[in-house]
Amino acid sequence: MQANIRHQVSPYLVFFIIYNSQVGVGILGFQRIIAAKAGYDAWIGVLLAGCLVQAFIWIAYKLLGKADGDIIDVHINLFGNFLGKFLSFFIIIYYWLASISVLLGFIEIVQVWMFPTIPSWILSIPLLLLMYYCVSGGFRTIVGMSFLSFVFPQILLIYLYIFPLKIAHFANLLPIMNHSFMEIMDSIKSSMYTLAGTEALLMYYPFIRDPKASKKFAHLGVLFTTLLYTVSSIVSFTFYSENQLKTTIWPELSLTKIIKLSFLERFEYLYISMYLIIVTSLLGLLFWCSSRGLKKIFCRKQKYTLLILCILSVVLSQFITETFKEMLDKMVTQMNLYIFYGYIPLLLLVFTFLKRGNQNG
Amino acid sequence: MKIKNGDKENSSASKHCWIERLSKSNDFVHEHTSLRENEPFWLSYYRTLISSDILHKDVLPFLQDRLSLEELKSKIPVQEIILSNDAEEIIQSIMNGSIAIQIHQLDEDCLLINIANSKFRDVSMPMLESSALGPQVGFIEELDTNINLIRKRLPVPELLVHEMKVGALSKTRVAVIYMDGIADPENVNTVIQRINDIQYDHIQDSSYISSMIEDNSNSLFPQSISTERTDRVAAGLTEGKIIIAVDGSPNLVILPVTLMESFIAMEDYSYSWIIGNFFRLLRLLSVFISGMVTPMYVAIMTYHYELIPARLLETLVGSRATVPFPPFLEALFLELMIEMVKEAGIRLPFKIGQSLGVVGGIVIGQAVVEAGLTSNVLLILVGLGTLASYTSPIYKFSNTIRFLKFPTIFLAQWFGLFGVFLTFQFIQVHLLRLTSLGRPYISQYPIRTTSFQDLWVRLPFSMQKENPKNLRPQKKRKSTGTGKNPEPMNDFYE
Repeated sequence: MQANIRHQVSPYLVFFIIYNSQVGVGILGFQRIIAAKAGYDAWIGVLLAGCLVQAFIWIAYKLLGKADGDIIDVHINLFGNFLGKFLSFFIIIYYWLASISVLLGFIEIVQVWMFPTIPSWILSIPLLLLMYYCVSGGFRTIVGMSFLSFVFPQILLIYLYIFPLKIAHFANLLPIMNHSFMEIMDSIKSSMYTLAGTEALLMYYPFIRDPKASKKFAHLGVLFTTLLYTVSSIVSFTFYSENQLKTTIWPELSLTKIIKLSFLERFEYLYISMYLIIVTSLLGLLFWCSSRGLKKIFCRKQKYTLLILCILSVVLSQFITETFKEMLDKMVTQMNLYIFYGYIPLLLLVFTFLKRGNQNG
Repeated sequence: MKIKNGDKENSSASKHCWIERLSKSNDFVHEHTSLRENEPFWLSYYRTLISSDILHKDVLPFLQDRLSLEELKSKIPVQEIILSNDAEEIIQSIMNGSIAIQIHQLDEDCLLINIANSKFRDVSMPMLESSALGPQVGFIEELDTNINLIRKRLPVPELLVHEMKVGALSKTRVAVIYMDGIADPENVNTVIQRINDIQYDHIQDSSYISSMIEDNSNSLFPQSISTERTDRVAAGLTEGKIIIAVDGSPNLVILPVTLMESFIAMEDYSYSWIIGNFFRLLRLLSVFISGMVTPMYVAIMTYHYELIPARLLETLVGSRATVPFPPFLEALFLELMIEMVKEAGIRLPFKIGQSLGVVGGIVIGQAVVEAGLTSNVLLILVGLGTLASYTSPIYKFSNTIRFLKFPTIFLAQWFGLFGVFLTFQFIQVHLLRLTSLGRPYISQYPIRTTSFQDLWVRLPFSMQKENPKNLRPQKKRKSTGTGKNPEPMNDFYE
């Protein structure tokens, strides 16, 4: 079930794919959401959520390693052609909804911060043209984008934390652990949306040249993003007062307003524009996953499935309202939680049990 | 193809017809050497193709006596003599500057003596890729001289030349040159195969070949480097690259290449490695600036003037207070104007070029600002951007960069900074998709350790240990080791 070796990528690149699949628009605004209940202790929740994702990576590698293919192969292997494809369809729909959620999130940010009057479709059409061009370049192009988006601008953006840290109040974080267990649990749940994305592994696993060797890079990737999110939340917590944080929708973006150089201020314009690179690489990965999934399920060329997805996304991005967007985000979070942290572990159990039975029989 | 078939039919139908065919042209000579009917030789040649000097000195003296063609062949002191009776070969050979000698006019056998008159300019300095330091030898329009220049730099039998004829009408000689045992045989075969598959009437320059065999001929980026520097070609060969040389073209084509190689000047190796690196990275930066600076100006002045601190904004706005156009039109006019000046500068006759260049560059530029049609700041930025694009030693590449400015300016007008980075991302995806001979064109992905020995940066020679991995060279390691004294330099190292 492995993909053609010419389309495969080196194991170390999994680090960048994992990093890229997790970092999207979520990081710009998740600080407010996780702090809603757990307050300044929420960063502990982020770390714990990171541990959960690590566990998911372990499970996914176990499952896919046993089946030696992607999630659709696992499903077909286990439940037969029809039921297997039917179940996979839900996962593919999840990928697509996640990409729509990222796309809409980014368009919303651009509309709020840069061009208040621009209609959504004017932004979504060039973005989706870019998506089509990128995905039609194959998986190696997608991975290349992930890698390049890490080199520029991600490393630069991490460096920018120096500016708010200069005036940080670390006393804000103290006392540590003054919130109840349930409140911390709540912050774990709400950071899952931002940390989501690793589930794309279920689709690109056959494209890794040496999956066993890549495992440690996947774990490192998750570690990197978990630390990135933790640092990002700590920077926000030490910068804003608790009440201010509650009313700031995109704390990370508002932070960049304080950056002042002799030739540049109001950095957020540049920040959002540069974020385009990160967002488009993530969208590329998600669109690749969903169009490839549909290709395998319906046995159509990826060209057509991708085209249909792109057109549907443009239409959706135009007719969507604020309430629908919130509903979509909630739905993606719920689906992510139930499918990948409830269903997939179960699937691993069933798969291990059934396959062992088969071997004995 | 049609003409070629026609040739074959003719030649097979009547073998002696070739004289008739060639005599249609006035510069074709077909004559006796002697007036006595019983012992003449028949000579046929193009007056304009041969060197009459050699004909009179080295050939005619031997034609006084009655000799057979074989005897003549061993006597005449010219290197390239063939005995042939194939009409097609005779025509080809005469077309390349041979004279044909027959004993009787209707004989099939011909002695073909190549005394071609080849006049080419002397080997001179490279015109496009000049450098302050390093060798100053450039290729010229003659293939044999070019190969000779390469062989002088690499006098080893591993240097192989594979020659082909391309072009139904031009019959251009094309040579594929590579190092046996270093270059990947798969690459060599691909190149030879692709050149063999070319169907075209005439090949005038190596660029014809390179754009025909490129992986993606719709791309703006040159997927091969065309160079006139002998040192660049020789260095490429030792790393396992393949060279295509075309007769009549002073530019040789190097394949496969990566994007980053367009930033390498051979001069980098003449300096200390630290200074060499500084200039290499400077070139990278200036090409980046060249592509971005005008679009950034348009984006910021149209949408995001908040980005600029108040004191700097004063200068910017003040300089364009009298300009009646929006920044987009202002930038577009100025960019187009600079392109026009540049284009005219190339076409201008040599004698008036310099004086008109001053008019174009300085007088118009000054006048445009004084007339209030454009701002001082933009003039500086555009001038800087245009100059910066020429820091890349590869001429084709700097053209690409300046062309890419225009779509970026349009998107900057449409989407502001968002548009600038949208084009950036489009270009990035395009580069990721590009390949040169099936190898990735972009050198930062996948990462190779060899890219940090001599591509992105140039380490000292002793640390450049491997040949670039993306070429899949058969010889993986360079033979390194500098002739330094292993003795400790001073008391500290004892």
